[in-house]
Amino acid sequence: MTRAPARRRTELGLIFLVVILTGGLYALAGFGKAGDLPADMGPFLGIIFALLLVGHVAMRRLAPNADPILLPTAGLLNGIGYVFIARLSTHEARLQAVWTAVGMAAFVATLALVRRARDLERYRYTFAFLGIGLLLLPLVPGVGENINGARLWVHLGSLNFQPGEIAKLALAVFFSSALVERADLLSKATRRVGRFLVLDPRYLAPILAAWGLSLVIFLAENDLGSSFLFFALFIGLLWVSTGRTYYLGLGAGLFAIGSYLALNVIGHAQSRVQAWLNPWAHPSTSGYQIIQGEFAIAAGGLFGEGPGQSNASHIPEASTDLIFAVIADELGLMGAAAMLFAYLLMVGTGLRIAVRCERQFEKLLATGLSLILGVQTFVIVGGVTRLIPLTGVTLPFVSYGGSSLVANYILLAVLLRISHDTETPRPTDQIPELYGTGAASL
Amino acid sequence: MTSAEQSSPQIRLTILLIVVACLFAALFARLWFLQVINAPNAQAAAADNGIRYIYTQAPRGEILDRNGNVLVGNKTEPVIDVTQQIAAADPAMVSRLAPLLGMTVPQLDQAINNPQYSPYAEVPVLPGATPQQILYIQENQALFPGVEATSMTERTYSAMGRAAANIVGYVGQISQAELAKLKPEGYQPGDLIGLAGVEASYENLLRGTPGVEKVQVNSQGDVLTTLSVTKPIPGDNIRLSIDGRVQLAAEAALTQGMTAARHNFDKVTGRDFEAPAASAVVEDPTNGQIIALATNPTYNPEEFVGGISEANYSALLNNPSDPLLDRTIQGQYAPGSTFKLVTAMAGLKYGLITPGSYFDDTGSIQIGTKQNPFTAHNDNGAAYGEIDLSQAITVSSDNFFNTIGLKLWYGKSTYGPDALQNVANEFGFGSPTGIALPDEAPGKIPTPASYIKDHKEDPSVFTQTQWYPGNSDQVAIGQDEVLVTPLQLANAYAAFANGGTLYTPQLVVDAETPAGKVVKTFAPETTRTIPIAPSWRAALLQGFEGVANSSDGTAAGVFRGSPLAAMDIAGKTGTAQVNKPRQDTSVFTSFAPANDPKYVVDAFVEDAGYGASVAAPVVREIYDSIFDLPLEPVTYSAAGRGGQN
Repeated sequence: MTRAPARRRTELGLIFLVVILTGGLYALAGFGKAGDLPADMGPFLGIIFALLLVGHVAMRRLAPNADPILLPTAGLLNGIGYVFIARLSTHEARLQAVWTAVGMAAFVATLALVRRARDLERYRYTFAFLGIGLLLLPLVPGVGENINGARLWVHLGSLNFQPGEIAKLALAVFFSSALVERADLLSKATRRVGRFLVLDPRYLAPILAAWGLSLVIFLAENDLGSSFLFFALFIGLLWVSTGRTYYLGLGAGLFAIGSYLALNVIGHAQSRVQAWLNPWAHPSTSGYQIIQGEFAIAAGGLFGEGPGQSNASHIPEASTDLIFAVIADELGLMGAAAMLFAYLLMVGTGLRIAVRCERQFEKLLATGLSLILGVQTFVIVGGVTRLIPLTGVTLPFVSYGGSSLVANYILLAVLLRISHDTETPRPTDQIPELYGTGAASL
Repeated sequence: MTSAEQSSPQIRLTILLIVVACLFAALFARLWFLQVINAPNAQAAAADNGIRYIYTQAPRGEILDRNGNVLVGNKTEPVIDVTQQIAAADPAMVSRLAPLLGMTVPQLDQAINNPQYSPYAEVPVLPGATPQQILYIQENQALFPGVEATSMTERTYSAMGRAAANIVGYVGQISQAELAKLKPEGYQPGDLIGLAGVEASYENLLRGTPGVEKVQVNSQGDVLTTLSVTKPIPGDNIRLSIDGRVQLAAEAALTQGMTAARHNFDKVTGRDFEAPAASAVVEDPTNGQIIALATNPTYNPEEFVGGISEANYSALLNNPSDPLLDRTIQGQYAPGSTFKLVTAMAGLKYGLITPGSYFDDTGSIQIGTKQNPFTAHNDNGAAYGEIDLSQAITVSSDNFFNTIGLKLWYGKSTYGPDALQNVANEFGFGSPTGIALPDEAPGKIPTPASYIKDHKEDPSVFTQTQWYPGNSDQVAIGQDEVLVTPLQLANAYAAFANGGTLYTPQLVVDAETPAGKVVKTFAPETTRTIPIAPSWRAALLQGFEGVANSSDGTAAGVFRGSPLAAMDIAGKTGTAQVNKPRQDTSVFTSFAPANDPKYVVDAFVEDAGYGASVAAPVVREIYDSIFDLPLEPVTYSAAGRGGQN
């Protein structure tokens, strides 16, 4: 109990720092764009501080022993994201502010509802069906909608929502528990094929089925980025849980086959790869976005053009897929590298939480959630910088988009819940007391 | 495999963290490359990226005749434009637009995606749109983003302008090759450029200065703001030395002459004359200004307005009668007896004859060697007896001039091997006159050296290995390989008529702004001065006057007794023989009034017989028009006395 307040004090200190940093950035962007302080400077500072404070208080109540770094880092990224969205479009900024509040509510609700991470393990099939159901939703006629060639969206009234973002989390829970259940079977080779001992495919069947099905759904929805993310997550978890390098080879092989199929079946994929290899072939159509992004990144140089001072607003999808290009333009290599460092810090913290877990399920789940964060960041930043083909996934906590923000706050809550469970001394008599205060507050 | 199996999850998680860290390091390295190492290149490429220049062609200058009559003007024509980029993003709009314009969707797509235009430019897809179509688009503009009903300027041609098609030429869209060459001068894809005639040779004056609008565009290519606007400066009007009225008359006279010839029988080839083509030149000998350049067959320049179709253009190009050929500057003909001016000048210059010396014309002369002799006859074997230079010109004695040619050749050690040719070159034959029209032909004056050279280069065509006396004999009367253009002949006679000044034929008098302010005047240019002694000129002039006015003149039947007689026409007939089965070319050249020449007029009619038969009546009618006399229709004038050469 003695460590808990210390950790939370650290967290609170970091939150103050985040508010100062994002507030300063917001002011600079206002000066850069309009030559004056943003009119809503006060409300902005108030709201960001209030939201983070809500998260912090919930942490004190619900997960006092959890890691102190994750929430402020997420808040920093969220704040930077908001500044740049506001700099690009006031309309989107207003919506993003609402979604941030919804995300924080989801964060608190998750902490409150998931009292012990291990409870999630029991509902593995519920999560499996929930995940696949969410994935299928956009394909339902009348509900789903195509945006930019991908069928990822459902509209509820006037709101568009990407259920795939939540589905990723549900499926991560399912994989972790299913893999833990079969970890022994999966790590022992029982069949001999030639010189090699391989696994009995019977044990893998349910996992493979779930993985295959969700992959097919992702592909049917033309969401290449998520397909890759999902695939990497699955292979990573399999390897971490069993320790068999064999799965990495199998994964590489399946990835090659999947890429080949995608290239030959999905026209969308082909043009993405062509735009990656040579955007100058069609500079005003398929290569336009990537060229504009590269111009913006190059314009940034080492120290950037300054917040609000570039004309990056002409990049297509500047506030979602290509927001990192805008940030690299205005904050330069220094700012972009700092952003990357923030993500690496979150992934590292997540993996450290996984390392400290004693139970296999929590260990795998924390690994999976960290992987989602890391791989998704790599896929979108790599795409924007033309290291890999550009696919439309969001930059976690930064890109404009409600479903992504909400999902990432839930992810954060689960990670922190695991962290709290791990760091809390085992004596079980202390737990009811803690839970008692938490329950009272609900 | 075993180490991995034994490794604890802890180690595997550490490996995972290292992998993630490596991936992020790769991202950082990539950013370093993009933002530091490669940034200067990318920044340079990006500098122009958000800025677009929209060019507007200036209204083209008009082309006027010497009296200010409009030959080529402009009209504005309603047109429907589509911006490529907007259309590409909105196929539904294209399928709405196509039926309205009476096109299929693929047709419209093809029209829109004209590679000659930039994606930001408005592509004209329907010139000559109807008021209903325009109104519909304007009233439903929301349905048709990127579509604009506007107007474009097009060339118009007056009757005089159509008759002067070979002079004024035509405009068309700039080709890719020209565009690559002319880009520095601000030409844009889709620009109109002069492709022939004055439109081509005075492009720089007619074109004006294009307007430039500098705009900032967003990612969709939509114009955000206009940064600067430079208005187009209209091109200058050009006033030609051409007299539209005379040009029209000359074209009409050619048509009549060809028709007349076709109704007459050629005894030599045993069939009617074919007269497939003809041309005429009118020049002011006092300053070298061209008053008319008529050629037939010709084309209608209106066919090129708004872009000629591939099919129509290739029909013009492949037409066997070659309507795109301007025969006044590109047709090369044997001049026949009209070349005797040159031979006479050479005889006088080298002292072989004097204005008063006599020659006994027996009707034939012997040339060649004892082993290989041959006889050169006058036309129809006519013998003119004792004649002087004037009479030789008037009756067009071949033998008189054959003899000069032979004497020059036999005296080549004294006069040089090219004595006759040098005089021809002095009068401007054998090289382009320098008139400001594209692709002028040089003609040809054969020399002993050219015979050897031609044979060496192409022995199958030029079978003769060297020069023989017979070649001198024939060159002297404008045969052999001698080729001249109608303009060269007119210009040479203009030099004689004005006393020896050979001008560079002038086509443009001045350039004026649309408001009529003269911005540039063109002065006559002298190519060279030819020394002509007054006694020589008097003798030759007497001979040329005799051609039209003396009872034994070769063209007397055409001019004597006509109202023109008062205008004192001096001239020379020519009947040029060409290789069978072609028929003789009918040539007549002239100037008037003989004692104070104001006009030089010549005419060539292919496959039409004697010079006096067709060409002379054509010239007569052109003079009628010049001097405002009652027009005498061109009729075929039958050969009179023997020597009608």
